[in-house]
Amino acid sequence: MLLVEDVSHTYGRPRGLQRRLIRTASNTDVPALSNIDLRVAPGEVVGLVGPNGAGKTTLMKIISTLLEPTSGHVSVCGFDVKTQADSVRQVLGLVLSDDRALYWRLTGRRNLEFFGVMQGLTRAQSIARADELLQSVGLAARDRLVFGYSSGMRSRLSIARGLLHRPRVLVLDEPTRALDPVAAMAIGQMLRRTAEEGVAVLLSSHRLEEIERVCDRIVAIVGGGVRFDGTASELAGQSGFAQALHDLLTSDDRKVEDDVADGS
Amino acid sequence: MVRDLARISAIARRDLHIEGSYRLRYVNRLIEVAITGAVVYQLSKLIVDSPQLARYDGGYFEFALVGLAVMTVARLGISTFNSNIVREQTQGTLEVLMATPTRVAVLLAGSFVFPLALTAIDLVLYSVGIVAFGDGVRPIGLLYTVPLLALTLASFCAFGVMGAALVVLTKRGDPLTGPITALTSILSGAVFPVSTFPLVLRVLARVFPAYYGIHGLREALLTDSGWRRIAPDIVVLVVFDIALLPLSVALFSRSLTAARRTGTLSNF
Repeated sequence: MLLVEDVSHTYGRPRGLQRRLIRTASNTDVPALSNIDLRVAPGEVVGLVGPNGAGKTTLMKIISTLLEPTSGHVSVCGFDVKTQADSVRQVLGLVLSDDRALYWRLTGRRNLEFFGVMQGLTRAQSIARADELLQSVGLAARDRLVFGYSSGMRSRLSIARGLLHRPRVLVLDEPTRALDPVAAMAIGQMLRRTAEEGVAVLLSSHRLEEIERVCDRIVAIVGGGVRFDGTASELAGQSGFAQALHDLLTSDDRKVEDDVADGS
Repeated sequence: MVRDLARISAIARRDLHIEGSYRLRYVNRLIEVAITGAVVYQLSKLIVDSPQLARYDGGYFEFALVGLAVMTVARLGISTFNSNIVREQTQGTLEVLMATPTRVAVLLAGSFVFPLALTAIDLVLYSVGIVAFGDGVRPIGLLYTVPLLALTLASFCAFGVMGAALVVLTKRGDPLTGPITALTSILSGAVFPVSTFPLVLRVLARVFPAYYGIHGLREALLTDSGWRRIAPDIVVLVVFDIALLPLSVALFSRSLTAARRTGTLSNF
C-alpha cells in the first residue's frame, strides 16, 4: 500500500556554501508539488499523468526516499519515507526514466546480479532472480555489455532491476518512453501480472493508450496539484478518454517550470 | 553484517569487471610505476652522500621510494571516495544506489576495495624495486609497515570522505581534495628531506598526516631505530584519525541530507 497525504515540495534555492561554490539552474525557490493526496492499493495499477514539469518525477523521488518532502506524509507499506527510509527501500522497487542509470560497462546479467545483492538478496538468489527476469523481459539470449543495448533493451533491463527483490510497491517513471508499441504492450502486460501478484504499481507515462489499457485508476497532476483522481471511464465522459485527458492536462493555470522535474 | 560483506564483495566484483574492460589501464599503471622507479634510480646516482640523507645511509633511492609509496597510499585515501561519487553521479547510478537499502558506509567501503588492491600491487612493485636496485630494508622494520600505512591511509580516507561530502554539494568543484593532495606532495617530504625546507614550511609540514607516515616508515625501514623513534609518529597518526574520521562521516551524512532536501543528489 502506498499512501501520500497532503504532500508539498518546494525546491529551495541554494544557500550558504553551496550557493557560493556552484552555479545552479535557479536562484529562487521553485514550488513543485502542492497538497498532493494519492493512494495505491495492493494489486492496483495507478497511472500518473501530467505535462512535462508538472511534478510527477518529484513525487516519485519523494516516494522512493531520494527527496524529502517540504511538508506532508508518505508511507510505503506502513513505513514512513522520512523516518523509516531503509524499510521503505526494502519493499519499494524503483524504475527511473533515465536509461543511464545502469552500468554500461557491465552486461545486463551482471547489472542485475549486482543490484540484487544491493537490494539484500544473497548472491545465489540474485543470480537465480537475474536469470528469471532476463527471461521475462526478453533479454536472456542477448546478454552483452549494456553499452551495446538499444534504448528499448535498456528500458527493459531497468524494469527487471526494479523487480529484483520482489517489491510490494513498484514505482515507474516513464518506463516505456523508449520502447516501440509492441515492446511497450509487453511491458504493460508484465505490469498487470505484477499487480495481480498483489504489488501496488504507480506508473508515470505520457502514452495515453498505455494508461487507458494498463491502469485501474488515473491521477492527473497539473501545475503541482492533483487535478483528477478516478478511472479512465469516469474521465472519458462524453468527449472520449484522449480528448478529456488532453483538455485536463492543458488546463494549467500556472506557468509550468520545465526544470521542476529534477529540481536543478 | 553478512549482507554488508556480500554487498562490499559485489561492489568489488562490479569494479573488477568494469575496470577489467579497460585492459590497457593496468598496463599503463605498471609502466608509470616502473618509469617513476627508473627516474628515482637515476636521480639517486646524482645525489650521493647528501648530509640530509646521512641518517638513511645516504641512499636517495630507498629514501624516495619509501616516500612515494606512502604518497601512493595517501592519494588512494584522498581521491577514491570523491572520484567514485563523481563517477556514480555522471553515469546516473547514484540515485538508484541510494534507493536501495545499502548503507552509505557500505557503498563507500565497497568502492574502496578494488582501488586498494591496485595500490597494493604498486606497493609490491616499489618493494621489489628497493630490494632489486637499492640496498634493501631492515626486515624488522617491516613489522611497522602495516600499522603506519594503515593509519596514514585512514587519515587520508577522512580527507577523502570530506572531499566526497563537498562533491555531493558542489559537484566537480571540490575545493578540498586538490589543494590537500598538492600540498601533501610538496610538504610531506616524500621526495626530498623536510629538513631542507625553510622553517615556516618545516612547521607547516607537520600539519599533514603523510609527514608522520613517511617519517615513521623511513625510520622503520631505513634506520636502526627501535620502537621509541617510531612510536611518536604512530601516536600522532592515531590522534589525526580519531579527530578526522568521525568529523568526515558527520560531514558526509549532512551533505547527503542536504542533497536529499534540495533534490540535487543526481546533479553533476
